[in-house]
Amino acid sequence: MSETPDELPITTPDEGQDADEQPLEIDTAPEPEPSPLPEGFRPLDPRALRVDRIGSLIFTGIVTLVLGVVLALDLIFDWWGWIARAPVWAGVVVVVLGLLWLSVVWTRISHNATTYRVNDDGLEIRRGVMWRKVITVPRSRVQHTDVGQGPLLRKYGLGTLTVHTAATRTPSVLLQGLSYEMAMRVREDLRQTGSDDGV
Amino acid sequence: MASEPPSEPPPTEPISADLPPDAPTEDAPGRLHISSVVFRIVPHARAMVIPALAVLFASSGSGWQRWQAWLLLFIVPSAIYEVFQYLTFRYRLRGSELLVTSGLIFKRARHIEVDRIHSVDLKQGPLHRALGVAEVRIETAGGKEPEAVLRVLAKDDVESLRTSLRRAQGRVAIESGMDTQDAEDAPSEREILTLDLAELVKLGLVSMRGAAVAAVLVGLMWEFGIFERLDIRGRIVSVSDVTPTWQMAIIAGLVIICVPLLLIVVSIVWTVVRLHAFRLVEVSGNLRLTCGLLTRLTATVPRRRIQLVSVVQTPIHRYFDRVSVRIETASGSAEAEQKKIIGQRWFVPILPTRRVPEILDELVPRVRFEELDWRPLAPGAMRRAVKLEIVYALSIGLLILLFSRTAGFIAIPTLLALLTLHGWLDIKRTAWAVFDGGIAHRRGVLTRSTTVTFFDKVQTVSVEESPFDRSKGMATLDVDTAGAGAAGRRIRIKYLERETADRLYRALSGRAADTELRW
Repeated sequence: MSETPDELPITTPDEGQDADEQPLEIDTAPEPEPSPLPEGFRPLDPRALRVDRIGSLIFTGIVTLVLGVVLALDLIFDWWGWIARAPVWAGVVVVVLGLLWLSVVWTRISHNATTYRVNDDGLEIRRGVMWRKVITVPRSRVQHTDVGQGPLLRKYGLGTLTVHTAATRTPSVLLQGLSYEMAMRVREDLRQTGSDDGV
Repeated sequence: MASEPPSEPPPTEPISADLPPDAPTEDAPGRLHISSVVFRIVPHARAMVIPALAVLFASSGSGWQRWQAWLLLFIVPSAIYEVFQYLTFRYRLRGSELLVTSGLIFKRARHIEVDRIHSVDLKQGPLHRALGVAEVRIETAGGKEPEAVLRVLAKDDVESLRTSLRRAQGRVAIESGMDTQDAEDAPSEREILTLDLAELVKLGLVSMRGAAVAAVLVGLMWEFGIFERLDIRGRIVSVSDVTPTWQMAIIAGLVIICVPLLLIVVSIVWTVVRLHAFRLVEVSGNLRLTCGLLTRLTATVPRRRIQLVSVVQTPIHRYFDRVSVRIETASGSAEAEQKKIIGQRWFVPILPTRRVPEILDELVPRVRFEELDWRPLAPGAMRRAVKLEIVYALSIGLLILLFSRTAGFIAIPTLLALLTLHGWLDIKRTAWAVFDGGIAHRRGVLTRSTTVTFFDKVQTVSVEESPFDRSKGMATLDVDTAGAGAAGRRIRIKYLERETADRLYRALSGRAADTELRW
């Protein structure tokens, strides 16, 4: 990848489909219209977005709490004096607001950017907003599949599908954010019939 | 199951030597060689003895304390365990599977589909050879270690095991309708390549494989105070009456000359010992490689198991007009074990450049390397790569400038020139080609490599697109296979035109889905 600052200015807005991906310039309120899904590609389960948000918000909460405690201790014991305090407070506010933005807005953007499809060839997943990736796991290369479910996922009826292949760098392909039923259906669909499985 | 009473007499009964070629037989179970008890205990013993010796050396001043000898008693339980392992260990060919059982209390049975076996590797140290036995490793795809290790078998048993495996594999292949080119019984060897001493010396120079060994050696010498005993400094003083500054200079000079020299010598010796009498032959459709002076290694790889081939050329290779050819198989032990069993890591460790087409034709007959239709990257790739190198050059240069102004002023233009050149050459040399059976990728400036894989070996295909890619209409194509090696030897093509990347992606995933995975 060539994600060097050198090339940043070159990212001129281009073809329309990418327009809603540009808003990493944080302020322009990103309302990504649900762009029409390519033929056969399915979105993730909406409940997965809620779970993502809950997770990120919990993380944000913990960070906020820790920072808050530090600031409170500073107020009590007067570690830094008020001149140093101003930038520190400003920094903390920026960090917390950034995390909030990530957990409320960004989760939706990245949730909407992930789609998948299962067809004769196999499983195809597209993900990523800025750095996009589309990967295919051919049906005949699936070694085995797992569907996992943690307590939070179970509460929302979600499951995580893991597809294992014999590949070296991508030995398992993870698809998070499916409903449990859908994960099981995809899994059933990918199951081999016949013995051309290799191993 | 292996529940035979341990009282059974230990001498091995020959297995399957008289296996009728086509009967779906249940062979008499094969057993390990009696000496396997020794070979099985040795690792335990080593684990005990080395700490014991360390203690001995550590306390060398005050003498060996008696109680430490008791530590050695810890060997006894493991020795008993290994004796029982030996007594209960059985292997047999049953139908289309190899059944390996062992254990008295905790029984363990491993069923290995013969058709899944990727290679049968042999390891013979000097002691093995003296006793006429060998350690046999049976490899299948995946997993971090061999599927089964038969430690150790009598030489005759090894041969009959191989023969019956080959027959069974032929049988299985016929049953499942696969090609039966390697089903032939008559093991006629055809020599593909041997390496003589001169080649091995060159290889030693190329690989500097001994660097690590030399480092350990120097470390040990230091540890045991050999340097002090030699009293280099004292000698120099006694030979020549020189000032202390000059003494230091001479010592430094000696170190600068001797250390690389030592590294080179050790590297050559190491290579010659490991790869002595390197021989690559074809035995009934499989490739078999034998090498080693002290420890003799044999690795057998069916041709159709080859997942990836790459031809690598470092600058030193180029100086000698040589290349290395590596193949990757799906045997999972690729990381750990095949560093020892060189066979698959460096399948053809060194080869005169002019013989490349001939040897590649032997390894992967389905690729016609000379006829590959090489295509360049996207037209804008050069600009992007050069820009990237300029950014690298400037950031490193500025960092140096922070420390020293003169160094910085020298470094920045030098780096700019070198890295720009690097980027330019890199893009100029990088190319890809699609042929009947798969895809090829060529890359590298100093160390150059050409890597090839096949549609029926492709595991996953992906296209990645960074924001920079998007603005320039480019993308990265990544093709993953089983046993794909280090960064230089994988198929990941950057700076492709977006449409090209998409087309390749479609083609590859479609073809991969269409072709059955054939390990």
